[in-house]
Amino acid sequence: MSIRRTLLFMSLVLTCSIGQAAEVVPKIAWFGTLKSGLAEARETGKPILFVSAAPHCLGVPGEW
Amino acid sequence: MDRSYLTNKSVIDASRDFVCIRVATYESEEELKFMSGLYQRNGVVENTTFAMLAPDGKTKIARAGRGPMQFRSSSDMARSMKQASEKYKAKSEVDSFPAMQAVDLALNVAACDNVPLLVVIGKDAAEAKAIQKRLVPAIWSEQLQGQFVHCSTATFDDLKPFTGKKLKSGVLMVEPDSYGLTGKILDRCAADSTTEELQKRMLSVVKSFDRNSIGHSNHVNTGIALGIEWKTKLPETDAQSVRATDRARGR
Repeated sequence: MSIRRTLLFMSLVLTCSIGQAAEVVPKIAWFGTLKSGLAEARETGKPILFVSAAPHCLGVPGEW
Repeated sequence: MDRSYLTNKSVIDASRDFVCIRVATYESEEELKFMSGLYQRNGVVENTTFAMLAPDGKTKIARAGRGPMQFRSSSDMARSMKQASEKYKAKSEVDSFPAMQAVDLALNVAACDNVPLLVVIGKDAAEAKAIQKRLVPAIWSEQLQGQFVHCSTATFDDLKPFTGKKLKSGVLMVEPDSYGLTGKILDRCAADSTTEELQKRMLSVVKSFDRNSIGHSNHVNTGIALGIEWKTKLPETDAQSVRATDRARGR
């Protein structure tokens, strides 16, 4: 009886986990060049959020 | 770069009514000149610059500085952004391809952001543009905006850092290595792929993207030990950063 219950429980867990897609976490969508971003702002009339940063730390790339 | 304000949900929501421009400091003369007009300290451009501007690209709507810390909190920043977007209402939506200036820089930035890199490769500039046009509705869709770093090239040699089957023309989606110097091709789409097909494949890559980080300190210390160093196109002018780098590298 307990084996049947265990199997039933496991199949329920499996059914719940199948088809569960990873959640997409929203992020800011960046223009990568000043020229393209400024052109887009003029075209759309949207205000600009401007950020610059160095894509390296102590010269090591891959970390801001 | 700030990791708190710019990852806050209310700031991200507010950013949808803005054109968000993020450039790599010290990689373009034109961009550096623009930054120097926004904010300098001791007469030089430092590693980071932050500004909020009117659509004319000139009028400041918040104080420029190194970062968004003028705002007491992310909520405060989001509120200020909402006020700005009420004043400057959009007359149309964004619809261009948001590429970085070069493939190697884009790969580095994708590593920094821990997101996949999307590369358009065309046999010539005209074909690259045609592929970009089909990608634009997918890139700016609700689920996919901000999920990739983008770049475009008509030079096959630019794909050298990538492992996996390449295309002479089409779209590659790439997982950057830890240091953004090489990448593994996760998926590829033919040059004549429809917007719907591209969007489906992009979403699939985003949902399955699973790249672990070894932590900031380990990353930097290991990188220094391995002699890995990013050469900026222009000299760095942030004296504190240059001194720290020289010290860390025993120069």
